[in-house]
Amino acid sequence: MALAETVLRKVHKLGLVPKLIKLIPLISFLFALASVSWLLVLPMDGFYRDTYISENALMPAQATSYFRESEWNHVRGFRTALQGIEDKAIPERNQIVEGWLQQYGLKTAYHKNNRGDDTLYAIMHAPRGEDTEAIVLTAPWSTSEGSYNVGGIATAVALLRYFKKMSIWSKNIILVLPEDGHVALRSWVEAYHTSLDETAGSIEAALVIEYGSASDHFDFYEVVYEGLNGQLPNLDLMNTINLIGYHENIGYSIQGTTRDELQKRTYSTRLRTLLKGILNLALVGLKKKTPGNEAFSGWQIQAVTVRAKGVDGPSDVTQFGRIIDSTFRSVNNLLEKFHQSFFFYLMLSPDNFVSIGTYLPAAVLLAVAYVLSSLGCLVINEVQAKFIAQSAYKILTIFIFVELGCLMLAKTLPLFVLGSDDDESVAALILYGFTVLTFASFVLSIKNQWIPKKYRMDKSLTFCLIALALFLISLLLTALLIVNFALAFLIGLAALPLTFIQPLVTTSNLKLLSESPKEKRKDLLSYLVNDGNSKRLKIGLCLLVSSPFFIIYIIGNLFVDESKGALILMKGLLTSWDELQCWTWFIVILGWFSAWSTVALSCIFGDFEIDSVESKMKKE
Amino acid sequence: MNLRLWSLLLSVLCVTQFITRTTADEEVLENAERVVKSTNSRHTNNWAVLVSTSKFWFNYRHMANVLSLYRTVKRLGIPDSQIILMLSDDIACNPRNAFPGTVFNNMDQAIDLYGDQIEVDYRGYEVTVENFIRLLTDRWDENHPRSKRLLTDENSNIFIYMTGHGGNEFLKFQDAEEIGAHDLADAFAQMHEKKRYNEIFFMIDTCQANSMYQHFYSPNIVAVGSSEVDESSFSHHSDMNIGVAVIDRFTYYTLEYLEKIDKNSNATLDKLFAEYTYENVHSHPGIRTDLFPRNVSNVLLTDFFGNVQNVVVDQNNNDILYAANHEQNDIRNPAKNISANQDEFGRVVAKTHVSYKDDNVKTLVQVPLSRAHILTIITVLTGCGLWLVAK
Amino acid sequence: MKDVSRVCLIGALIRLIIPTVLPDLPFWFSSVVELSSPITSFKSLYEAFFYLEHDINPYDGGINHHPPLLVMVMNMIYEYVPVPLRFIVFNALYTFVDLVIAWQLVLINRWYNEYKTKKNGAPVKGFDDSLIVSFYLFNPLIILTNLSHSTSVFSIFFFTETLVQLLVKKNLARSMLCMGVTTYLSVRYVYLIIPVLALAYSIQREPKAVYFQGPSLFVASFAFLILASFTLTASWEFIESCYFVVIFYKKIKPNLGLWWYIFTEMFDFFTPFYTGMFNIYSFCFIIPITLRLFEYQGSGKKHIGDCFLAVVACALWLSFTNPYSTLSDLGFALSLIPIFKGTVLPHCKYLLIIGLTLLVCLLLSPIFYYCWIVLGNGNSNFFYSISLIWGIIHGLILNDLLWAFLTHDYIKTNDVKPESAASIRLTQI
Repeated sequence: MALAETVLRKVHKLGLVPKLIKLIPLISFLFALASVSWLLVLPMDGFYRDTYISENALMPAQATSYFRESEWNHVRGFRTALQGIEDKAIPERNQIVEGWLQQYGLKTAYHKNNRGDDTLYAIMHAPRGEDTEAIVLTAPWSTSEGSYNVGGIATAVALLRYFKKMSIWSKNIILVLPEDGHVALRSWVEAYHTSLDETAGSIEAALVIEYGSASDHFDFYEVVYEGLNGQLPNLDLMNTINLIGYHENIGYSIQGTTRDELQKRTYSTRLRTLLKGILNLALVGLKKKTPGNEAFSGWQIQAVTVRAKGVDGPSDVTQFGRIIDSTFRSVNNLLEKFHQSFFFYLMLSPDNFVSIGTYLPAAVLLAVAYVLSSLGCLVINEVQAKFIAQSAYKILTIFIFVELGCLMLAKTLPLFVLGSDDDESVAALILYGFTVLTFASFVLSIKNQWIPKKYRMDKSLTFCLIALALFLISLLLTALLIVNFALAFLIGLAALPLTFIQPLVTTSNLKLLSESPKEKRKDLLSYLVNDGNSKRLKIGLCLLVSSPFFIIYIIGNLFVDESKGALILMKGLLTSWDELQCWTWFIVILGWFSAWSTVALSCIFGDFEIDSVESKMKKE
Repeated sequence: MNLRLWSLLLSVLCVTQFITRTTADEEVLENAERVVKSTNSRHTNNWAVLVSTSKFWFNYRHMANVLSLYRTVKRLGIPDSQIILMLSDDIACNPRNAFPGTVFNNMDQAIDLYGDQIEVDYRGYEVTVENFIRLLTDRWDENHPRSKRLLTDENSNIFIYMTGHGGNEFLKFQDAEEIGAHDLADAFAQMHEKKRYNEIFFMIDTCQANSMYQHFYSPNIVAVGSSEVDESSFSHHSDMNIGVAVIDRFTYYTLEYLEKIDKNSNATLDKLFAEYTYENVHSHPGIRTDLFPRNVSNVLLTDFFGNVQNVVVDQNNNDILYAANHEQNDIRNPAKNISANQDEFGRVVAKTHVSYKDDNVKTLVQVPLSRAHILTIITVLTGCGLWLVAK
Repeated sequence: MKDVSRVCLIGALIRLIIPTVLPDLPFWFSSVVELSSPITSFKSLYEAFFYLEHDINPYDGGINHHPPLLVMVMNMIYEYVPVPLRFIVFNALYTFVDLVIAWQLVLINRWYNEYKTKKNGAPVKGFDDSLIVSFYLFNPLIILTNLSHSTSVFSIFFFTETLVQLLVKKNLARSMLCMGVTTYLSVRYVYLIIPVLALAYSIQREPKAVYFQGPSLFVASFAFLILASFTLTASWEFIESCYFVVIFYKKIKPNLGLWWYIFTEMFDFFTPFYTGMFNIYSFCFIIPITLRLFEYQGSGKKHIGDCFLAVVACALWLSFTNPYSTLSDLGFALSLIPIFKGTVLPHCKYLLIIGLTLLVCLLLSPIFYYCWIVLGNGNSNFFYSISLIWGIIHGLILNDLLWAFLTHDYIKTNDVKPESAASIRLTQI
């Protein structure tokens, strides 16, 4: 206490407080910079950890899998039959597969969702088990790449036949054959926990398999693990599959690592995996073609998608089956739910990861940057506490108005898309609408002299609003930083230009003060460079760049799809809540967009330079 | 002179030869006697306490360890009545067991340890620290079955084998509790005070096992452990069909040696200890003999693992006939027993009656709801009255 | 006055309309751990009604922990009001109680400023009535508590009535009667009798009346209620359910408080130790706080101390050590603090930090609970970290208040000029 007091006294003596206040924008920016560099440091040696199996009971790859030659014949048989019925409708295909499954003594049932998708599922009750827990094997009829999942379904049926012969199961096994890994599967999962009659206990783990070719061989396998709303499967499950693949001598890929780089472990590969992981986790459920594992999110189910890559290579289809078999045996060995290992982690490679304690500071630093810059807005511009108290009513009214508007948009826009027959074009229309809005605010914030004077807000109110918006973003980041780190980090990074607006205003005000008014507007060049207009342009650009819809264009076109990426993302945002219960849309529109609109409003209607400059001049 | 000299020389030679001869003979005899004496342990009966303190499927090997020892001591002649077997017993019939009803300790699956005749004395949740300590010190209530007690006396040799998951100076019991090295040492001290053993051979196979016996302070205990402090004990191999490790290294090499001996074997403890090399066990097994007066190279393995062959006449002063008569008297007088029983019954009834009455009070509100409401109103009104009065 | 009625109207509408439009809301809020504990939950009160309807002892099954008289009074509304109106009557009752509390706070505020003006010899100006009412009625913690229909509202009501009777009406007897009811409703308020008596002494200066009559009246009224409860239920079982559950920390349900974690994560044989320890902990700071803030004539006829602050500080302390902590305890203490506007409050330095910490705590608490209970990817440590922050907030507020009080007293005793009072910096040595 005494020490703190001494330090405080020293700080006062040296007059550090005013100096620090002036430096707040810089400090805030440094925090943001530190946040990014924190992530960049993580892939360096010594900062990440090697994966390990934390749960003793799993015992991966300790049992021999007999899914070998004789089973290969069955896989081939099923595959040939499946190839023959490729042209048939899914209900017909289901009937045929149902016949096979019943022949092997499995109980089958259907789930029809309100869209009319039929989902066939079969339950194998463990004869000696307690009949209270289950493991799910899912093979969608079409893979996330859109191809016919013939190898996947053939392997799945052959596996069930093989499982049925073994007497080692303590958990029931469920085979699910949905139309795809998107709504059909999600609605099955929801129905399983709410309305289905034929169930087999609580699902401990789920594997979605994709083997989109009729080839006997494949090259390596890829695991997709991101769940909805920032959820991840327990790291033990990931490691189990990794270890089993290692024992089978098959290449293992995450985050789209290519064949050539499977064994590579360098700084750049780790960084790429890390960044891709963050991006993919933030975008889960927004793309139409989902791998299927995220359909299990929210029910305490550890789920991953295992996808065979390549049509010829060193590995054969029974090895693919053996990965599933061994994973199932490991999960079968479990006595409790997955709980030993991490639920929050970022993968750097199949063998390296960072856990939440290590990466969390990145998001915390970012949130602090926003808080600082929010405080800076108030302190630097000497907004009086009295003023805030007096105009709290006004500020809150504006803010609540913006929030309510956003809430209305958040609730109604998805309805338009879901209700129309041509959802693609409605989504496009909405996207263009927002784009126009963004550009309008960009232009208006540059040319805000077009706004009549009587609609203008005074300086203090403007800064209060900006401060509130920045504070809202920091609260959003704080709320998300544990639950959905990826989304928090992405939003924090994308909206960062909003924190530059206040320093831009203040510094150019100072510049304006140092010049005499007569010297202004000498020629066009200085008009652009020195004058408020250049500042206005910068502010406008900040506003433009940090708009959610600008970011949707950037991410969509760069990472999702070259031509239609933005549209895909927009449609995903609008429909993902209803289809998958993915809340990204609400976070974007109620958190990010509302804060952005508040700042945009204050940039358009705010008058931050004129009154201050004029009043100072009057004083002089 | 010459003759006399020669005769003297001869006689001296003879004498020395005789003397040397007798000393050599004596040495042989003494040695033999010593071996006979020392191996001829004072004990008259053998007991074994075999404990697996872990449960769950992935601890298959601990069950296999303890069942292997069970099989061995039975093979070497200790009857089931003198073996106390404590194990969770959740392996043989585990749904995950690919071979239901079996436990193997080797991937060749040659011997089904669970076989036909297994008498588990403490199973499942009965495997607790409390029960183990009570077993050793024989502090039970009077209703505890004799078959579950360690009925040893001062002439008993006890072999105690423990396996499970442990740490520095503790051994976990079924992931729920743990026994400390001091607890164990104190339990042995009590056993010694109560003359419950002649000699104890304590064997423990767990991580940091040697820490478990370092606090022993009672005499006549020889102890071995599988690993030093800060060392793990390792499993020997997995059965790829069962999918788990089936035996620990230390126990594996113990058994490998014990398989070679039979009831009449003259093998001594040091021969067994010679098997405990780092190459075999992959950790540093510990042997503690300072409490043990005999030299381990003179101690027969069958002193602990086999049943006793010696007979010692009991110096019993009690008149057995009198005792028998006395007992018969009791049997002949059933009325007394019945009355005693009735007393007991009466007490039980009295108890239940009391609790029944108690229940009666508990389960019903005596006051009907409407009356309660009226009472409430009265109370509130009284409160208000008080309020008005309180000026 | 116009402002006050406007604020009251809006506050009342919030409390009346929201639960009327969404009748499930109080029940839903009743199972939110931050809003209601097993001791104050409206849901468990409803469970008691259900038991009564079926002639089962309401204290069977260990769900209901409300005292019998409260159950009966509420049950009369439940029994005699037809269904559609029933909820509205409950909503109206809760709204009414909150409005009365707000008005009581206004009375206390007026008294405090008047009293301090008289004692200090210089005018002490506090907040306007309307602001005091707003601080209570628009306090989000209080609104949420009210919407959850937590029964702690009634304890707060009787406690403020205790203060009003004591301070404004100068009626010690009624005040003690109220204190008895408060303790009957929520047993932990019994600790507050100590600062309340000190407060009574500081304004009445009659040792005999205060130290003899006061406690005896308090005990008598409490005993009367207990006896009445006994005649109501014809058993002593309610003592166990209502009071021993609190004293012995029997309900181990996660909440914002500090202790639940220790009972869930530690070995059982430590429980008696912790029970004793935490009870001592609840009590042991009450007397020192009261003594330190006791009012007396200092040197130079200066009036030193602030017994009312002692009551507030002790209330904060009780919120801190509450085994079943909810937002309502802190919410009530926070609503009392604006009363010190004229004296202690200007010297508080950490208000911003406390506000931000509280905000983060309220934001993350439900999220971490959701991660732990629903998603299963968090664990109890996540939620307990929030409990710790909750504790830190209490510590900060107490620390700040006491330090501000010392500063205030220093300024008073040393006749520091108001100009330099703002810049004065005190150090603890």
